[in-house]
Amino acid sequence: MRFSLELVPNNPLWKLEMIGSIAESIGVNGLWLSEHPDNRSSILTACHLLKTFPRLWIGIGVLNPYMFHPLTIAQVAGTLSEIAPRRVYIGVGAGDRTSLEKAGIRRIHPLERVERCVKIVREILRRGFYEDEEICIRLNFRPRSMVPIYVGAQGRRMLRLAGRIGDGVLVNHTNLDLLRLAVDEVRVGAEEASRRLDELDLAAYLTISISEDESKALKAAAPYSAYIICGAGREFIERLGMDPKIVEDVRRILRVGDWVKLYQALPPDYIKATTFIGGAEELKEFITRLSKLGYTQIVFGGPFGPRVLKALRMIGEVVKHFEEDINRE
Amino acid sequence: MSKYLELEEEDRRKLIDGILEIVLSSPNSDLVPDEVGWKISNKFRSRKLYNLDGFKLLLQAANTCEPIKLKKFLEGMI
Repeated sequence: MRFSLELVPNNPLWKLEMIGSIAESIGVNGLWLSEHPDNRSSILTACHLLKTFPRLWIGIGVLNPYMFHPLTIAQVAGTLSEIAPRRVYIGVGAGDRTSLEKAGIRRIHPLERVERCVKIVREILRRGFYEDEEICIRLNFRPRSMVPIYVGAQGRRMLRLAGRIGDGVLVNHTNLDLLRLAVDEVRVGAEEASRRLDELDLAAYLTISISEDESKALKAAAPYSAYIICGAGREFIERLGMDPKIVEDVRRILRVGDWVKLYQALPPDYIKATTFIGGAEELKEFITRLSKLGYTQIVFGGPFGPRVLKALRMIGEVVKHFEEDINRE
Repeated sequence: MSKYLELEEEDRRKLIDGILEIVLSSPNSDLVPDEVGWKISNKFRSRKLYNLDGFKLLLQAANTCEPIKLKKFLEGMI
């Protein structure tokens, strides 16, 4: 099992650097930088952090083909591989529909777009060029190492696609039932491409709020949970048995950004269904279950907890537990 | 500042840890002047944050991004 931490570049770079330093000290192997059009650039942040932390790998997760042309993604991956050979991963996904719409972009044919993007990026990184009946593009430099391409997925069909074409999959769920179903879908996709599930790095990209105080953990996780619920499709909402009326209320409150109302409107059960709430022991149990399901990487995603430093130290305790387990074996 | 100097080594560490927690947990850290932030990060990464200089920098940062939380915390600590 590999462990990584999600960093969101809505924080200043000096703060990301500090959290990266804590990540290194608690035994985490890598960092995933999330990409949002209204935050700092994940690509430029990756440049800085790759130079700062020579032991950590860094993934950019995820770049969408609507805002980033496949040639741009290949160019980024190739350049980063020169800064840090074998320490760079690229995540490709459909992107958040709401964020794209705000930028005036319609997220049409996400499956086709992601599949084509991965194909082009991979070809360019492997051979230096890509050519078909529509485009003919070439890099004028040599990528220094292979850059694994992860596919970010949540829905059933995207999970299958990820299993079919990804070097790894970033499964964007925290709910155990959904994570279990996701493994089945990824397996189907992998089998369609005559691959085995264990040929992929299957990463559970979790939303974590770890604390001994449940009410504080819930409060810290509420905005994250709200974003997950509002960005999710109908299938997700139905599967979790959520009341569409409440979901609509949460959407409305989120648009206004009224956090006080959000805490009142969002039932604790909904937060628990979409994020991890608990202490270090519960997190160990949860990860053990994920490992049994076939997950090979755990991404600890924000908010981490109501107290970030304390939460990261607790995550360190969890990582250490599994390292000791491996050493015992 | 003089109260900081009166504290035992272990209590000074606790105090600095507490203020560091306020800064790291704050959603308002963009308000902290970058110059102060980079100095804190450099000291933190080179393990030189736990001294009077580090304390002063953290006070400045926390007072910028979370003044009320800092005040409450200091009242409980010192």
